[in-house]
Amino acid sequence: MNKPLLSVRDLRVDLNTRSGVLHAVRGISFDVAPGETLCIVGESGCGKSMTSLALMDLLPRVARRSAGGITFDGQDLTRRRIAGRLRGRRMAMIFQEPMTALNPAFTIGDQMVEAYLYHVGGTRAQAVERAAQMLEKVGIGSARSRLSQYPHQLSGGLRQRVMIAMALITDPELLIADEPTTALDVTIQAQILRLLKDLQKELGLAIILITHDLGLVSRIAERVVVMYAGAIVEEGSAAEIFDRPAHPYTRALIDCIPQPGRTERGAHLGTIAGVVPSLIGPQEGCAFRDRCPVAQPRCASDIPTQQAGSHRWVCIHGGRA
Amino acid sequence: MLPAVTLGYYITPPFMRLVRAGMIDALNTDYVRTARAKGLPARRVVFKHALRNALVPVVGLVAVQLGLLMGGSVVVESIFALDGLGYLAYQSISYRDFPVLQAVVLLLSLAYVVLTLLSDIINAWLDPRLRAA
Ligand SMILES: Nc1ncnc2c1ncn2[C@@H]1O[C@H](COP(=O)(O)OP(=O)(O)O)[C@@H](O)[C@H]1O
Ligand code: SF4
Ligand SMILES: [Mg+2]
Repeated sequence: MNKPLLSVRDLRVDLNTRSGVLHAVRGISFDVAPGETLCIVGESGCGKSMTSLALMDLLPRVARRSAGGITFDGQDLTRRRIAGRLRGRRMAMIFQEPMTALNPAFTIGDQMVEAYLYHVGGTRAQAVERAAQMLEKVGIGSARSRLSQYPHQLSGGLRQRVMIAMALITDPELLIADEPTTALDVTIQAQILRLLKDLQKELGLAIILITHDLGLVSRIAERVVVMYAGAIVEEGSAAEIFDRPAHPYTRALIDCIPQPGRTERGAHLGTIAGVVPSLIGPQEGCAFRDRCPVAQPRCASDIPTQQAGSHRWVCIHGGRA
Repeated sequence: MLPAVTLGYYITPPFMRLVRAGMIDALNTDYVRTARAKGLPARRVVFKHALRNALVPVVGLVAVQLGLLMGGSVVVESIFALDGLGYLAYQSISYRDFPVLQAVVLLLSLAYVVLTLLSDIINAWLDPRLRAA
């Protein structure tokens, strides 16, 4: 692989809760190459959002981040000054809730222009021009008049487009998208996904797409990281993950994707039996073993990482069990 | 001086509580997170994005509190023997001067209505969602 754009080593996020320290992210490492789409997938509560917020230094106050290293284009992101210079400029983020992610008190033009003026500078007229351009780029017609509208005057799908346009206005190299389509209905979901894919090609943008929906991953990802209970359990190219999934958890997720003609009508969709274990306190052995159909007694002790080229998984079984 | 402090002491705490609660709420919103994600400096995030939304309930309280202030001034002006509208109301009651009392009450109610209207107008400016209604 050529030099990574983003490199994350041993990232941990701990949250102080009433019942003890919750280890939401438990020492994960991954790289993102320039222009690449990496999907981070896993059930809800696996620590995906905490991971993305940790990268942007946006964690809630109860959370503490530690890392062996986080670098962006070779620069040390764990240093506040450097992170402050890159955030919103060379790395941008969009969120799950398009309905609340924009400030209701300001026009979308104002909110778009403000980031551009702060990071890039120039005159207000130039910034407005750029904002209108970006709205067109994300497929919003009559961009000029849209700029003077308020968020509550737009639909959810449009707002998410505005969020994308706003995130990309400074021409960043990395976009982190945390469940960007989860709150939208299915047709709009497909449109937004298409848009992200097109923008990525056009702008040479690297994307970290975070989702609980592996079906969506198959449509966009080049590389996939599967997270379970705060840890990465499998990582590989999209082909490796979908054609030769090695980890029982990944296989269970794949089995949850509804298949036209194969999934029975009315069958229980999209869930694996059992629940994600508590993330409070340390985890001994494989966190998936209570739900794993091929678990063995030795799954209760340390699990080796297995590797075949760029394909890696954490399980006692090698490949197809 | 003392009358001002007296009245101030009486009406300030609700404001402090409301602004504090409003800011805590606003700082935890998604749009403040968006503003931070955009890399805006903390000052900008707090004073532009959070404060603007925290002010909406405060403006409503200003109207109510100014109304209370007018009522309160009846007491304060009487105690400190200040020559004001409140003292006038007090005197007109003591002397049973009903036309004057009526005028004072009418003035105060009018002021109250105007204040409420003003607060609605200011709030519509602060929060565009209130404009349609
Ligand atoms: N503000 C918070 N306080 C305490 N625990 C939290 C908070 N936010 C998230 N968590 C916990 O952290 C874990 C990881 O959450 P999250 O990263 O949001 O998961 P995901 O995005 O994969 O659904 C979950 O167990 C969740 O309950
Ligand atoms: S390590 Fe054991 S419990 Fe965990 S996924 Fe592999 S087989 Fe299942
Ligand atoms: Mg999440």
